Amino acid sequence: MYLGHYILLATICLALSCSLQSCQQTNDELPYLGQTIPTEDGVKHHTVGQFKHVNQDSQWVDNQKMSQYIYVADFFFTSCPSICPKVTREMLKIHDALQLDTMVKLVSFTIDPKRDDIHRLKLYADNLGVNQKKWWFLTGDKDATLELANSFFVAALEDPDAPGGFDHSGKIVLVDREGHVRSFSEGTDPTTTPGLIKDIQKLSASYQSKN
Amino acid sequence: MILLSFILRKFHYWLFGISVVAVSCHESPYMQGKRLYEYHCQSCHMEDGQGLSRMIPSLATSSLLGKPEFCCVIILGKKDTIKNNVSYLAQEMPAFQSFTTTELTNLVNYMQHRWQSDFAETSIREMEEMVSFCKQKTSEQPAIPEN
Repeated sequence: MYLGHYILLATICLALSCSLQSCQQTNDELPYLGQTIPTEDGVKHHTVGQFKHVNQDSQWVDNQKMSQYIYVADFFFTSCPSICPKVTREMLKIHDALQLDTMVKLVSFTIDPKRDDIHRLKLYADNLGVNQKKWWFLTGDKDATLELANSFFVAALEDPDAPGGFDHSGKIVLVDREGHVRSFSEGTDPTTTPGLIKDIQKLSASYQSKN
Repeated sequence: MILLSFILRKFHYWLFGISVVAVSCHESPYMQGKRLYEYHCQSCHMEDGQGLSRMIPSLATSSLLGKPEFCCVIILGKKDTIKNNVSYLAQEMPAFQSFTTTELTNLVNYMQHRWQSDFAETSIREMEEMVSFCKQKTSEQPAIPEN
């Protein structure tokens, strides 16, 4: 009778530890941010908008090109007198931490393409002293870029009363190869950057294990 | 036991004493300078004064900190590229012509107190001399209006 109790207890413990372990494994995967819609085939996760921009080396960069990489994105402008230098500094930390991971790119979309032409973006990148094969500064149509920012969950709008003429948030957003938003940090809060770097490494490792 | 009850009974005095020591250790003596730095300088030069790569110069490690040339850049701004002994910079430094001599003195003293180990306080009189030195240069280099 007592032996039966012990066996039952041991079985329950074993079942619990197994279920906790499987739970742990599920939680290891980064979440899909944004709205997930059920479909006939399964579910459809939120995807960032379509874009076709030009980088500081006059090369076209679009969604198809970015599908070869996982990337972090921010929205900025070079003459921004408010939060941009802080956000760029955090992007620089990410750039330095993931220097050797060729799967990871960084992209910075300018929301002020009128002033930020290719020449100015090139000068900006030169002055930052970054690896320009890893970090692309992109310019394109202003309205399309402002709309694109929304799909990255970044607020960006033209506002004559805002410093520099644009109001925008400083989120740094992690996007996977399928265009889904998987993580983000607040570029104005340096304490959130190490967490994002860990998430990028985790996402990169998940693709490498598939190959 | 008696000692412990004595300490506990006088706990609020202890707490007050510790707070005074903590505040005196951590607060800068240049509160106006600190506020001016946070409001006008920090968004570009960062909280730690390190700037951003080659684009925004580091104030914390600047050899010019506290010298007349340093004050001139605050007052007159910099439109052209700034030689940084390493490379060139492209960001414009706005002119802060509205600062009073007292504000400038407190700002510069705050920065020096924070980042220079062999810091010697700049007096208002010394700052007045620096300001007049800078204003002589105004005719040589047009200032950039503050945003």
